[in-house]
Amino acid sequence: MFKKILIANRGEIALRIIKACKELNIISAVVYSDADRSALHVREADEAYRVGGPKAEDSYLDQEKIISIAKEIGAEAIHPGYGFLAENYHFIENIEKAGMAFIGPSSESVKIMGDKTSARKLMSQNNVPIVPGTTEPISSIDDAKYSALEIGYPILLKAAGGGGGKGMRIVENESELLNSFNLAKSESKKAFGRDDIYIEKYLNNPKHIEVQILADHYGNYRHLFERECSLQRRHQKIIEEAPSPSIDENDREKITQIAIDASKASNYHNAGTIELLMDENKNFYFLEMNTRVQVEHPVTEFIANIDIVKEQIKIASGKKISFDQEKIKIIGHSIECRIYAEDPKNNFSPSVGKISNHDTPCGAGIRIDTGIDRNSEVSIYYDPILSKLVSYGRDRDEALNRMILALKNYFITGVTTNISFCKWLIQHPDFRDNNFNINFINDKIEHFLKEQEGSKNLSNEKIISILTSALLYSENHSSKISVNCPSVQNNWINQDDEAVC
Amino acid sequence: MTKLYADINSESYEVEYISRNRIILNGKEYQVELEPLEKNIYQIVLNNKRHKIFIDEIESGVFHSITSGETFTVSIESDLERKAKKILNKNINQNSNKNIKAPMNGLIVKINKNVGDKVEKGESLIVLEAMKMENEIKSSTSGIIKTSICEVGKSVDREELLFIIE
Repeated sequence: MFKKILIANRGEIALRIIKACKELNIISAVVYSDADRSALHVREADEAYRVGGPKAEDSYLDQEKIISIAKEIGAEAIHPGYGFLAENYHFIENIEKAGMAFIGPSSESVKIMGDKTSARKLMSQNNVPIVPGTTEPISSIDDAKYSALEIGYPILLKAAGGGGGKGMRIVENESELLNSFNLAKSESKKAFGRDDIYIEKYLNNPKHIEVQILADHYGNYRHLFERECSLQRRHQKIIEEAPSPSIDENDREKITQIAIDASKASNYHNAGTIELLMDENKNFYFLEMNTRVQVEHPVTEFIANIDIVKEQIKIASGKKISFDQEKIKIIGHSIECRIYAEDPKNNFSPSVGKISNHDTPCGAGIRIDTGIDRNSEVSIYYDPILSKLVSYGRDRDEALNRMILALKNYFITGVTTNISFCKWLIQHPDFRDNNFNINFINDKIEHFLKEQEGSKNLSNEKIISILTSALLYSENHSSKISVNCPSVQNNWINQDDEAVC
Repeated sequence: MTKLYADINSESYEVEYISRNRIILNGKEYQVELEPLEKNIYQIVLNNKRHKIFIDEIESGVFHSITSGETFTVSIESDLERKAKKILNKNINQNSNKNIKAPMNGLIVKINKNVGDKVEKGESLIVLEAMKMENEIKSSTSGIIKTSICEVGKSVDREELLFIIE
């Protein structure tokens, strides 16, 4: 087993990996930017090394510097977390060349899966169903017209170079094609440095379902069932759960087999996720493979009772997967809310500032993976994820109820968060009844905003907020008001007032 | 007894402050007790039930609160302040300059409108990058841009003045 690992990341995922290291008795070292000098991951790690300025390019993306720090401090392996350099095959190659282990797949697997068209081609050759469309980049607008007609509108133009909704356009008919094609190309060039575009059939109201897999260096492949992540905004997930409430045992058998086949086809090792779309007729299509640990891995850890990050480290150190497939059963249900520093009432625009309070819920079936603490700075330089709130219950209802309670008891001040929006989503009757797909947030956001703005109903929370504000106002601004205050009577206890709570 | 106004979201409520333990809100009387727990954290007692609330006076009379996972901004004004504001607002309306401020800290990555340009309400002025995301800053008013501090590559703070539109 490794003696020392360098974690090339920050925030909650760096802390998650530090915990795994501590459990395995491995020395955890982290890198940090100037903006993160006193960040929580720096405080919790066994060793911390400055890597550069606050911009990601100058710090968490500076692969040369990170690798040289790792060598200098005698780290035997690098864990990339997610984001930053996690899916950069040059980085992995350079780590391999430097004689260290990369805690993740080989650079080859990452290269194949990172190019969306080559991944689609490989899957198609290995009988893994892909979303209908092209497996080669589109060379010209005529080429695009021809393929689009063959596939049938509406279509999606997508960037071969990467995901995240960048360089992506829905095209309803041929008259929109030229303009969208050019836009997608220029966006893709800007985001990924290349302008290759391919075409996919646009699926109506699909669900996003993904399968967690683990593979070691000895040809052992395992899956840890599926997660459903259909609640997304801007193509980014907010709420995830495991298992999916939308599939049955037959579907499960089918998609876990698809995932294992897809992993074998790319000669994969370590942890990975096969993302699938499920259409209204329960057809499954390969979307892409994420060649790293996922943000939403905790829901799987709950239902399968496997520590995915520890398993990653062990596999990278040359150990075999620690469990047999037959021994793993789904027990219970788990839900995750990603807590972001963003304002759902203002087009999810990010919020920055200093965390003045971070009061976390706890109790049966509650887990929080956090990257912040009181006094943490939330800066403009990095992703606005603050923490992940995860609930676990015997069934979906119990997990949902625990989540609602936890959200009510989670207080973050200093930045605007999406906690109230998460609570609204979790409590939505259509979400409860499993009547949702990846367009859910888009379809419902207006409704949410209207409720926030116009509802005349004086809820308990509003009453409490107004009364407290009025009391504090009267205390703080007593000079502005002249109170003919009768002698204060402490008579609240025996009032037979109508209950408000 | 003091008459106050509470604005929450876009609604306005009348509040009558009788004493520290008695407040009338929207015509209904509440028996309350407020206890500080720590900085910005209070416990308010309503009918024997304690509610924890985080509350911060972010500017004079404007309170930012969180309770049971709900976030609100409540503005409290006395009768006098409301009257004074009405008069002030009248003056502001006569002076037709409008300020556009940065809604968040960020880096200016694109400028769509410059000094002398005519803008319509809702039109994009600049693109501000924050936390890996590009945010379009739209004009909240129509008019002609009189001054601008915007330059590509410049970082701005939240509430920093970007444009004056006449």
